[in-house]
Amino acid sequence: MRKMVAAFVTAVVCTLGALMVPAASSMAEEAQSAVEQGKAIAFDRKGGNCLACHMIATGDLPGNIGPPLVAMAQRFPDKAKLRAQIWDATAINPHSAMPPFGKNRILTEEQIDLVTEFIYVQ
Amino acid sequence: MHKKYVIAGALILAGFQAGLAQAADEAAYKAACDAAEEARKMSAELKYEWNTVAPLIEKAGAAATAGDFGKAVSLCDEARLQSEAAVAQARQQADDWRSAVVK
Amino acid sequence: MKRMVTVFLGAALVAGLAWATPEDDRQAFVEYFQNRFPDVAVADYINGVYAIDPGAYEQWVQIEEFAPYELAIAEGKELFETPFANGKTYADCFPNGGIGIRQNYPYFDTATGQVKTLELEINECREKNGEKPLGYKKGPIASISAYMAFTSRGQVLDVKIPDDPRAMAAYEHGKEFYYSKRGQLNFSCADCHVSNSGMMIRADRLSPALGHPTHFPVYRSKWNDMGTLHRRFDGCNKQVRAVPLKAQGEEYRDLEYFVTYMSNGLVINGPGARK
Ligand code: HEC
Ligand code: HEC
Repeated sequence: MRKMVAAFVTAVVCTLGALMVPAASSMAEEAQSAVEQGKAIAFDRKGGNCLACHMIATGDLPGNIGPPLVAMAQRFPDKAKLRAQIWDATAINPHSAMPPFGKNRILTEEQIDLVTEFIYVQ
Repeated sequence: MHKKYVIAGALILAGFQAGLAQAADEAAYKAACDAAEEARKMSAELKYEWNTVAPLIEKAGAAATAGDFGKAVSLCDEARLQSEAAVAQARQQADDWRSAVVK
Repeated sequence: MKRMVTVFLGAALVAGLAWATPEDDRQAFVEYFQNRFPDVAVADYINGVYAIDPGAYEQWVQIEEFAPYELAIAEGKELFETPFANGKTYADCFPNGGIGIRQNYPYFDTATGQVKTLELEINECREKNGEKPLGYKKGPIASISAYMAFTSRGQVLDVKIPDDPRAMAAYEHGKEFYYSKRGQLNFSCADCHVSNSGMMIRADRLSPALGHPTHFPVYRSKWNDMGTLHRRFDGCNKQVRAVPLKAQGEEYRDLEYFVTYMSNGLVINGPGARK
């Protein structure tokens, strides 16, 4: 009986251990700040691809369909409004050329949070 | 002696449960992917299908074949939600396009 | 009687407000681009993005000197003149033996109630003579179309919308397509080629819609190949993450009808070369 308990405990520890390993590496990822992650998503052509239309500091070959994204905290003191513009620009202007990143599920909710953090500090 | 029966019983039970769980997962996958396919067809009928949808359904099929029904369900849920957004887009544009015409 | 006239005039006025005629649309379209690019002569819109981008224009003139579509014209001429198994040729299917007629396409065919494009009629000609139809986006059909466009260079685009409610419906259908947002990225053709024409999307300058169809089929460096107008529609639909529609299906033919009508009055300069 005692042996069985020991086996059980070992199994539990192993399972937990297996769960902990990816958790440890994702903690390392989290060490990279939300702003950095947001930037990676915003600049990724298959992600936000914001540079296709906006000048953003340190971004190469920007387009000019949208306004340069500068002084954002002043222009959007309310971060929720900034997020709303990214989530669905067509709610404010139905003919906007900006893709509705949230509404059309181009980015996930978490990705939009991260992009918002990045744009906010521009 | 007793111990052996207990272990054997437990194993059988566990196997049975795993089988049940598998059947339930598979049913959930079928339901999710049928719903996704139906939504995709509706967007296609309106000529508004997005090209992101079929690859999601395809990946779901591959996940299900590999036995990962949880992943398959979430891929098909995504495909359905995107197709529903495409259908909503078609309906909205049927009203909105006129105001975009150059006058 | 007087009252009836008033009622009639009133109805006409309301109808006029609700439904701009294609000619009203076209004039508004041309005016829009004249205001947007005041330095560009209307006749120059046949040069696509190069009409509004002096830097790229110089490079393009050099590309055109080498005429990368020349092989396609030669191949097209040969295909055009080679008789089918039954001894007939393409010339037997078209007005004026198929020479110098590009400017009249697409047209509305009152017999079938459909928009007919040049490529569609090339295949109809083949099938009528017992030959297999060709693929619509590239290959031999682009060469034959290139040759036919070449024989029409300098002719003035003259797309007609006959007094037939079905023709008007096809035109409206194409117009709706042009102005409707689609795909996951939610763009209409007009978002890129009207309201943002001249702007940069990444490193690409967006060409104005006016003059778009005059130089097709086109040799495109990116394809390293010739392509028909519907091949281009296909590409522009895909890049907004929409499933493209069938080349020469009703949607794209109606779209071509609208787009080409907007360029009426410009001259044919196909085949062309583009980046
Ligand atoms: C296809 C072009 C396009 C893309 C891609 C695009 N935008 Fe925009 N954006 C616009 C346009 C055009 C506007 C102007 C307002 C409007 O029409 O909605 C705009 C406005 C904005 C604004 C408001 C700026 C202000 O000063 O009012 C923000 C913030 C913004 N975009 C963020 C983003 C972010 C973040 C991304 C990437 C995830 C992005 N945009 C991708 C076209 C684009
Ligand atoms: C996201 C922007 C975008 C959208 C939306 C778009 N296009 Fe394009 N289109 C381009 C780009 C970029 C090019 C290549 C550069 C240029 O000529 O503008 C192009 C090229 C073209 C050309 C060739 C121009 C030439 O001179 O050879 C045609 C014709 C065209 N598009 C038609 C359409 C039609 C019709 C639609 C709607 C179904 C459409 N486009 C939607 C971006 C777009």
